[in-house]
Amino acid sequence: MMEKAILKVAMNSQGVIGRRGFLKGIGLGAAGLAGLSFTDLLAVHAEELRKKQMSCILLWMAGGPSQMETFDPKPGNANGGDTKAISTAVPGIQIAHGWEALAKEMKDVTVIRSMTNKEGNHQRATYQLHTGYAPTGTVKHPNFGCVVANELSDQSFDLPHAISIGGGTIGSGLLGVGLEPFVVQDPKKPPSNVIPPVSELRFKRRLNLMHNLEMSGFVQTGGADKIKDHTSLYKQTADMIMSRHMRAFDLSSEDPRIRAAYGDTAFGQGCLLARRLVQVGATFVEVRSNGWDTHNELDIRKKTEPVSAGFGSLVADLRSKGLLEKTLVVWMGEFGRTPKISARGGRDHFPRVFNVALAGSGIKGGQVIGASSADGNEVKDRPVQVNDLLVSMCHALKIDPTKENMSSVGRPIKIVDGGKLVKELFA
Amino acid sequence: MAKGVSAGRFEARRVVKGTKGMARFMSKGSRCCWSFLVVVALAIASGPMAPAAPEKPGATKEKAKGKKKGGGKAPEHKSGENSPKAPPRIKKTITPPTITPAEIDSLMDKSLASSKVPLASPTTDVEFIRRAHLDLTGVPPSAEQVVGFVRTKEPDKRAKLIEYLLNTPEYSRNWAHYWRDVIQFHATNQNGNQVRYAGFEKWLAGQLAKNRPWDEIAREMMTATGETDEENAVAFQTSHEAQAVEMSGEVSRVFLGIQIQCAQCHDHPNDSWKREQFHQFAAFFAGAKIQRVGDRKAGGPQIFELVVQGRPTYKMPDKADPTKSSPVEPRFFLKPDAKPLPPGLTAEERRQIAADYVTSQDNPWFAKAFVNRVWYVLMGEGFYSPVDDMGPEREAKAPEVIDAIASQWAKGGYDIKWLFRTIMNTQAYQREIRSTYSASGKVAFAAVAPARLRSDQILDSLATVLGLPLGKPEGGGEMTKKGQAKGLAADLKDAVGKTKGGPKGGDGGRKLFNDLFGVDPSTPYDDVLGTIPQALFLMNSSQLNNAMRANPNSLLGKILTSGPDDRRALNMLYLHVLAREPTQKEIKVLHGYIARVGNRAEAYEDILWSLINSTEFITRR
Repeated sequence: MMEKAILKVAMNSQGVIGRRGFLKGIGLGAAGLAGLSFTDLLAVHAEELRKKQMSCILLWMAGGPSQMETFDPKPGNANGGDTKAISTAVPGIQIAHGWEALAKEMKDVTVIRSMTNKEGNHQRATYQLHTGYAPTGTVKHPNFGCVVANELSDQSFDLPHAISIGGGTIGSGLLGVGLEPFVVQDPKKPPSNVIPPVSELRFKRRLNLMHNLEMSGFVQTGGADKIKDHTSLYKQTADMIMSRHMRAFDLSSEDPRIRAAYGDTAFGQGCLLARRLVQVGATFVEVRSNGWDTHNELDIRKKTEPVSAGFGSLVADLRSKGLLEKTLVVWMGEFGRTPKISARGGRDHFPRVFNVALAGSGIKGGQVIGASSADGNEVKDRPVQVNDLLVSMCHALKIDPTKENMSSVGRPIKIVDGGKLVKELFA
Repeated sequence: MAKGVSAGRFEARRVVKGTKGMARFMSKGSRCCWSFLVVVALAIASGPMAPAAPEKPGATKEKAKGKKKGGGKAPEHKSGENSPKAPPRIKKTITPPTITPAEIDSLMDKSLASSKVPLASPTTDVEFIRRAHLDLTGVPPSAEQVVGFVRTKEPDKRAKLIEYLLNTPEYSRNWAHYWRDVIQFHATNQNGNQVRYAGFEKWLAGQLAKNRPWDEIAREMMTATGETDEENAVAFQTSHEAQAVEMSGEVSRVFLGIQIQCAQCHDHPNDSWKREQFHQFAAFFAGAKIQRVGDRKAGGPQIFELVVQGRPTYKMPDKADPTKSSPVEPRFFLKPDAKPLPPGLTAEERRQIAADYVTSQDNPWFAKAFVNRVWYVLMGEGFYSPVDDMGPEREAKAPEVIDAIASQWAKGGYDIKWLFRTIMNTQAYQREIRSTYSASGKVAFAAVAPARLRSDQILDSLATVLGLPLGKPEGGGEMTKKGQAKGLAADLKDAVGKTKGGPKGGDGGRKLFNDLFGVDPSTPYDDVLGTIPQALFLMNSSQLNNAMRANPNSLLGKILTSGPDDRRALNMLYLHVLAREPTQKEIKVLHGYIARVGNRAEAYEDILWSLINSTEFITRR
C-alpha cells in the first residue's frame, strides 16, 4: 500500500526519468517513510496543477542588466547619468527611457527594486539566480525552470517540457536528462536536427529497420536492457519530430501584426516563440538576451528596445489569449551594475542592489516593491534576497518550495532552501 | 559574458561573513533536509596574511610573479629540506606484485560460488578485440584488425593484443579524456581561461604514455602550481578555484573514493565522518589562489596562474554562531591517531604532506579507489558503486578480490599498465556480456555488464567508421578537410547551444561533441540514459547523413562497387560499423529489406543509418 503510493508519486513527478531514480527513492528507508503522507498529498495536488497547464517564461538578461537603465532610473542624481525616466500606464511609476513598449503594459507588471545578493561573478551568480544555490562540486542543482517542468508538466505533451531559446542555459542537474532544457539557437529557424534529411516515409522505414535488426541481433547477445532504454528514447524523439505541436516553431504561421509587434529581432521573435510553446503545452521557456555586461557603455537602447518590445508584446499577447493568468513571466539577470559610472563610461558588476520584473500567474501588477537609495548604493526599503524571489515564484506557480528532490548520492535537496514569500507581489 | 575578474571592478567578496551570507553557504553544503537549522561551515583561508617567517630552502619555491617557462612542475618534496618541524614522509618501497590473472580468477570463482549462477561463456575473438580496443584506446578496431586478429593462430594473441594496445598513443589519450571528464563534470569554476582542460589532457596523456606511477600523477594534480595555459596539472585545482573546502571534497572523492564533503556543514549523517575532520583536511589546502599573469594580449585570452604561498591559517566557522570561527590545524581523517602536525607549516608544505597522506602505501583507499574505477570501466560493474562513494563504511562486492589486487598494486608502486594488463588477462574480464533482465545477469562479475560508450569513444567510433575529418587522434590531422569539419561543428554548435566559451583550437569539434554527449564517468552506468538532442543529432545531422551516402568515395560506395554479392557486402559493412559479422537472423531481415526497397544504394544507406543509430553502436559489449 505504502509502496504503491510512492510509486505513484515517482511516476507522476518524474515521468521520463523513470524507474531508476525512483528505485533509489524507495531505498531510503526511514527517511523516505517519514515524508510519505506529505508526498502523497503533494502528488494529488500536482495532478490537479498539471491539468491547469501552468507555465513559466524566464526572460534572461545575460551579463547583468543595469538597474539604472532599466526599471530604477535616477535622473538628477550624478549616478543616474544621461538616462531619462519615462512615465508608464500606471501613474507614479517611472522606468528608464528605451522601455516605452513595456511602459504601456505596466498595469500587469511589477518591479522589485530592492533585490540584493552577494555574488558578483557571472558564472556563479548565473547559477545561483537559476537554481537558488551556489555551485558546488557534489550536487548539480537543477535550473528552477526544470523544477517547474518536473512539478507541473503534462506527461502526454510530446515536445520537451523545458526549452531555452537563444542559447544554452543551466541544466536539469539532479532531475535527470529527461528535463534538460532543449536548446533553440535561433527562433526564426527550426531547432537543429529536427528535420530528417530523408522523406518521412523513409525515416519511418529506417526506424523500423533499426528495430527489427536490434530484435534479431543484439537483443539476444546481452543487449536487451540497453535496447529497451534506447528504443524508448528513439520513440520519444521520433514522436517529437512528427508531433503536430512542432508547428509552434513555425513563426510564419503567426498573425503578421502580432509577429511585427514583437519586433523583428532574435529576442522579440524568441518571446513570440515562447508564447506559442506555452500555448501548446510547454511548461518552462527561457528566452535569452545577451550583451548586458555593460562595462564600457551606458547607451544601451539597442539592447533595451528589442527586449522592451518583446517583453511588452509578450505580456499583452498572453493577456489577450487568456494565458497570462496561468503563465508567470519573470525578467532578470545575474546581478545589477555599479551606481557610479566608471572611468570607461560604463558600470561594473553590482549584486548589492538590482531589480527584477514579474507579470502573470497571480502577480499583482502595476506596483513597485522596495526601493534603492537616492544614489543607488544601498537598498533603502524592503530588501529581497534571491531565495525570497524564488519562493515567491513557487507561490505564483503553486509549487511547494520545501519539497525535496534527491541527488545522485541520495542527498535530499529542497526546491528552495529558506527564503521568505514576498507577499506584496500577490493581490 | 564572462570577462573574468578585473581589479577595480566591484567583486562580491568570496569570503562571506555574517548571517546573510549563510543562506548561500548553507545551501551549498547542506546534506540533509534538516540542514535548515544546521549552521554551516565557512572557510577562511588567510594565505599571504600570515607572518613572514624566513623562507627555508625548498619551502616556497614559487614567487608570486615568477614566470617560469615549462612551469607547472610540482616542487619536489624532500623531507628534511622544508621546515625542520615537518614530519618525514613515509618512504615508498616497491615490491613487484606477484598476483596473477589466474589467481584473481580463482579468488573470483570462490566469491561467485555461493551465488550458484553459471558463469558467462568466454568472449569470442571478435567480441574480445572490440572490447579491448575500446577499453584501452577508445577507438573501435578496423575491419582489417578484426579479421587479422581472428585469423591469427597464436595461443597468447589476446595477451599480445593487450600489450600492443597499452603502448599506443591512443591508450594515453583515451584515459586522459576519461580523467578530464572525472574532473570537469564536478568543476565549480567555469572560467575557461582559468581552467584549460586541453593542457591538462596533454600533460596527463604524457604521464600515462610513460607509465608514471599513479601516486606521482595524483601528487602533481594536488600540488602543481603554474600558468593555466601550459601543459600541466593545475586544472584539477583551478577547476575549483583552488578553494580549500572544494579541494578537500574533491581530493577525497577523486583519489580516495570517499565523499567526506558531506561533513562540511555537519557531522556526516550516514558515515562517521565528523565536521571537524572535513575542515582539518581542508586546512591542508589553504593558501592557494589563482591570479592574473600580465595583461591580456590583443585577441588572446587572459592568462592566469595558480600560486601557493605563505603560512596560512585555516578557520572553521562556529556551528552555533557563524560569525565566529576558530583556527583548525591540518589532520588527515583516515589517520585520526597520527601525531598532530607542528603549527606554522607553509602552504606548500601542507599540500605536500596532504599528498603524502593520500598517496601513502599504508592508505588502502588510494589504491582501492583507482582499482575500483578501472575495474568498473573494464567490467561494467564495480566492487563499489558509485565509484566515488566508497570508503571504510561501504560494503564491497567480492571484497577479497579488490583487496588482493589493490594491496599488491600499492606495494608494487602503483604501476598503471600492470593493473590493466593483469585485469584484462583474467577470465573474468574476458567473459561475454549478459543483460540484467536475466537472473544470472544480476550477479556481479558472473558476466561482463554492457555499458554505454563515453562521449569521446562515440565520436571516435563515428570518425573511424564514417571517415569524418573530426576526432582523429591528435589535433594536427583534424582540420584537413576544413569544410566538412566546419559543417559538422556547425551542426553540433546548433544542437549544443553554447553562447560562450566555444571551440578553441583544432579540437573544437570534439569539445562541441562532448558538450552534447558527455556524461560524468563517476555516474553509475544504469543512470546514464541518452538525451533527445543526442538522438536528433545521430538521426538527422546532415553532415552525418552525407557521410552515410553511397558516394563513389564513401565507405558505402566502396563496399557497393566491390561486387554485387549482398552477403559479402553486408559482412563488410557490419565489420566496419559493429566490428562483427551479421547473424543469420539479421541477414534474413536485411535481404528482405533490400528486396522491398528495390534500390540497392538506398537500401544500404538505410542499413548504415540503422547501424549507426543502433544501441549496439554506442555500447561496449
